[in-house]
Amino acid sequence: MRTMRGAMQSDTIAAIATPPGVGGIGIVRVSGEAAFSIVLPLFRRPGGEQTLPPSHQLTYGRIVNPRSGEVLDEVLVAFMRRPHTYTREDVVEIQGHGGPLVLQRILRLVLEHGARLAQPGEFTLRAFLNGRLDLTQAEAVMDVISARTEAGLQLAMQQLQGRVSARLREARQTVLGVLARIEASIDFPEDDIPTPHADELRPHMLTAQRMIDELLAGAEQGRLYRHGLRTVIIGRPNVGKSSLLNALLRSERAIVTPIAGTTRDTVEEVANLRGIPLHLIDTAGITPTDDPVEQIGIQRSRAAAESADLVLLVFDCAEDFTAQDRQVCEELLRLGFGRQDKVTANGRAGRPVILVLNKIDRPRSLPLEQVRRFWPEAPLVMTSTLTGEGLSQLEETIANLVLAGRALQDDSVLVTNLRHQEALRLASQHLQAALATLEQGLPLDFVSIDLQAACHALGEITGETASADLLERIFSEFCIGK
Amino acid sequence: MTNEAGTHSLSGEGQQRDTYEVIVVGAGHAGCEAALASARMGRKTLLLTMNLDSIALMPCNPSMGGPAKGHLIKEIDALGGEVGRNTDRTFIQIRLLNTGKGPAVQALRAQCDKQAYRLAMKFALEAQPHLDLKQATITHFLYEQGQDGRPAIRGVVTSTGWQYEAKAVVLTTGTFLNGRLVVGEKTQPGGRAGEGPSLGVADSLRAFGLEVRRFKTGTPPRIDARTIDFSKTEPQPGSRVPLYFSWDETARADVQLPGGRPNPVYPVSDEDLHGWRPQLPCYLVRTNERTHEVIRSNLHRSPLFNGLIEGIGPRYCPSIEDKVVRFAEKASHQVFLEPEGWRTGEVYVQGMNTSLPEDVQLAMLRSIPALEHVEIVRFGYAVEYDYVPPYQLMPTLQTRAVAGLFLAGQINGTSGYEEAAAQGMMAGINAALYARGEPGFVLGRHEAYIGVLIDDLVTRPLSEPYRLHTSQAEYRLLLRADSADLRLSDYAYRFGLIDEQRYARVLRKREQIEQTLGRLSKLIFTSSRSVESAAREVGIAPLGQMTSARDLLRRPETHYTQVAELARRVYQHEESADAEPPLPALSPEVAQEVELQVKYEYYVQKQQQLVRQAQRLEGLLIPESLDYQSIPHLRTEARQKLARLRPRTVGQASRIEGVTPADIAILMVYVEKLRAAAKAVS
Repeated sequence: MRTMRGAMQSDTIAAIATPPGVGGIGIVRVSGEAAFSIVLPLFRRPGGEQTLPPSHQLTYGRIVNPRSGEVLDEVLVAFMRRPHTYTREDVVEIQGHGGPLVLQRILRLVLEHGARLAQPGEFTLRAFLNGRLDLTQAEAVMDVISARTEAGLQLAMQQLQGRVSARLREARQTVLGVLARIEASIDFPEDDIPTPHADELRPHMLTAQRMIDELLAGAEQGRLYRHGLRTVIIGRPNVGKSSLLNALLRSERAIVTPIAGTTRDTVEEVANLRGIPLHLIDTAGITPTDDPVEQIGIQRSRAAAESADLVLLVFDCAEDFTAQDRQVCEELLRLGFGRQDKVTANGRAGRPVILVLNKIDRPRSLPLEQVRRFWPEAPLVMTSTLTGEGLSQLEETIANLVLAGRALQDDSVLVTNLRHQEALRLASQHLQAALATLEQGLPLDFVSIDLQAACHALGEITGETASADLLERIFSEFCIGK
Repeated sequence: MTNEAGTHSLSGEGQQRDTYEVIVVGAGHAGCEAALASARMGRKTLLLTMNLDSIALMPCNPSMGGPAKGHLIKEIDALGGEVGRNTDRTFIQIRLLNTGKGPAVQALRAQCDKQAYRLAMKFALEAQPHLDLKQATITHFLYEQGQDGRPAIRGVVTSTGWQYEAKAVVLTTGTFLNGRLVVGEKTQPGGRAGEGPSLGVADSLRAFGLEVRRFKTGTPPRIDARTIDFSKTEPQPGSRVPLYFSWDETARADVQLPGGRPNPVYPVSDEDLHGWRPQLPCYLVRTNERTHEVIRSNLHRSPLFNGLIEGIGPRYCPSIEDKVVRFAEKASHQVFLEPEGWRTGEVYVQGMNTSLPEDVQLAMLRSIPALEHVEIVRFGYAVEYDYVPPYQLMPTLQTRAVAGLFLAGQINGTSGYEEAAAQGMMAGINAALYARGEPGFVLGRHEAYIGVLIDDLVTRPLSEPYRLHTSQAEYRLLLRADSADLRLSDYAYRFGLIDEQRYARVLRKREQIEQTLGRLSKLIFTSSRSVESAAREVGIAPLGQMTSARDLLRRPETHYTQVAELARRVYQHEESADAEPPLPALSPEVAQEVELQVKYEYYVQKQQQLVRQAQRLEGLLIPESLDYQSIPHLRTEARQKLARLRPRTVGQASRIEGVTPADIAILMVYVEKLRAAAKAVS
């Protein structure tokens, strides 16, 4: 198991330190020996000052990609010298205002400049191992690590289903194939195995690199990130749809942008959920009516619903299950919503519905079993837009559906997990280095060094270990045993 | 004290007894190194063998070395072991393999005289102070209950009732535990052709609670050289330049081959016989469709395919029937005909490993043009044997179940003489240390292939007999065969395994390398006309600009001797002739080391950085008594695997399959918690 190659100490780690989706300000935390030397070149202050700012003080400036000159965000940065820091190592905290998406780009920049993505609970672990936390806190540290990992693992596995993992395995097998040819000729020089030439290896290495780069490009430009998730808020009148919309937007007020051209019938706004744009569409309703003006609104609502990736179906907790509620439910079922495991007539997977029982601040009278008769398995969240109760749980539920890949309408190859992206980036870098070694005409042994590393990086995502796989490939492809 | 299944306590019968510090049972490649190491460390040592005429026998190919295996020999040699020296005394051919594939994967391979090898090793044992060599068969162990609750070994009992007492016992019984030989439809008990099995010991090990499983391996037929048509073979000569395994140059002068010309049936050239050392070629032939047809039509009679053999064989050493079935599209396979010695007509048929019936073996060989009239002198056979899955060992090769009992070699499920010798070396050192209550000796994966081998054995599950490959070493560039002395001599000297003189030579080599590297950086050449013309004269491409000697050496095509010559011409012309040259004259070995460290600096540093990172975890020791059940945060799979393998360090734990980074983080917190708690108490 080489996932611990980075070890737990000594190297410099980075992660977003603020919980996702809370407030406009986020922090990227960097800890370790190289924390200062990694961040300083990315940080530009007014006047061009380049020395290290005084320890433990917030300094204003911008985060700039030194290669492209692109400004990522205006930030406040604190450089904190050990040992008076959370981890007792040199720590840098970058406070950004640009929201989660920008924060992720800052983090990625830090990773590209030599930091390693922190494992779950690793800052706390370092704090403990460096004597910053006392013994009684050890149990708590272990709780944190195991809890976060369980959740993380589950999500990561779910994301890897389908085409992403197939593409990943294919890329890894391609690298492994090149490695097997090299290693077979090295380990069995007297067998009937030809020494591979650069010209035979290069195309396979380029293919693997292209596959990996495509996966990476998908991660950054995938439909989800480009277009966001179309989330339609539906329910009969007066259940609190608009206030739910506003409540969801409020938590991300800094980055709300009204979309031009919205009508009074469907209001569309964009919130940001863990880096994914959430297009919230408030509809006038989709129940039949005789009013010709409302008719137009209903058609628009229906069109909106049909194109939605996800539906938030809102009920009023304080009232009975009305005929209008029933009509909304029937209409949604007809449109093919909520059957998550089934494929609808047009070939698309059934789109999920989240049941939102609003107004829980008032006495409850909605019979839940009536709702459940229509939606036996849909996730259910109780909210109060008045008190704000349940809103973070709703965000969590949406995020889980999205990251689990269940709310995606197209089959674009998409890597959403930052850890996976980081592993892909490393794999791509190593392949690049291996190709450079090959071009320099160095012996095969040197080419294999970076190929091994690329294989390990990809194996960290797929959970496969190289050495057993490699021998398997060698023995299945080459007749060994002279 | 109970008397379990052939395991006797001290209070038993037995009037005849002797006392040693370390006893080694079995005198194969593992046993010889173990006994020599222990005796060289000054321990009173006994080596017991079932047959004094089978010491260090090579029941398979009389070949030593190759990638990874050759590295092991150099490392054993650096630690003061015998296998390298003994190979140098007795090889009849030597070659350097992988010359174009990178300096770290180059490896020596030698073909030995099988009988000379055995006799030379016996002689080395007989010459060793503190070591007694006796012929005896072990039937059971002496032990008592140790303070920690587990049995502690106290010695062994022979079939004739002699009791030999010792504080540590190293068991190196090879394939002899319940060995069973299989040829075609016939089977018979035995550890090697012509030798009976050892039956009681496996039962004794089981009684100690050790799990025992079964592997199989095989060997090809040997043929009569007089019946080979050598004109239809392709000779494969040995190296035309001197090559040796050992840093101990006395072995080179101590050639122990039978005198005179080799068996005259072998066609040899003048170069073979009158070069730097007389050598014999090997002879290459190939199988053909007819051979494969003979095999295919007799598959139902192969014990590997008809179910007579159940043990798992090695993938890297398949039988010819296996190769023909699995690689059906291959029209032909290589077969090397290798003389088994200088004065024998017995020829090893490399690549024809088989357990097909004797008539089929003959028919398939005779389908090859050079072998149309061949006669087989010994038939190929498969052997099935018991081994002790090595997860039950600590990295010192001591069993976890029995204090003071060490296992080394094929008994641990490995294959190969070199793998056996390496384990023997380490078990011998550790038994010697244990006998005096000193802490154990474990080599890291970054220090030696020996470290990779043993760490793999105690950490990873075995699905076939273990053979070391260079691809198993993650820091291959740091484990070059030629740097084994630089890596391991400090240990060897500390344990008394190499003498003052030999150690001084290593220190000098190290110093020379460092000094030269320093000077290379400081020495600057301008691009003046005189310098450029001197460069041209020594064959260096134009400098073009001011260049350090180090940067010049970094050029792929430039060698140290050229740079040193340029430096001499540029900087020494006015000085007196006897002044020290600006760059020292170096032996080829040292020059190569310097070149390597300069030319491949980037890659070397990259691997060194990985080592430094990994070392943080290697340095975190896990208490042997850790109760994994008491760490509820670990995932169940991780908890079970850790409890079974009981890793010595957090680093080792991190290499166990199915243990995640989060498990390791939790383990670190827990180990740290225990340490802090222990400190608080004291």
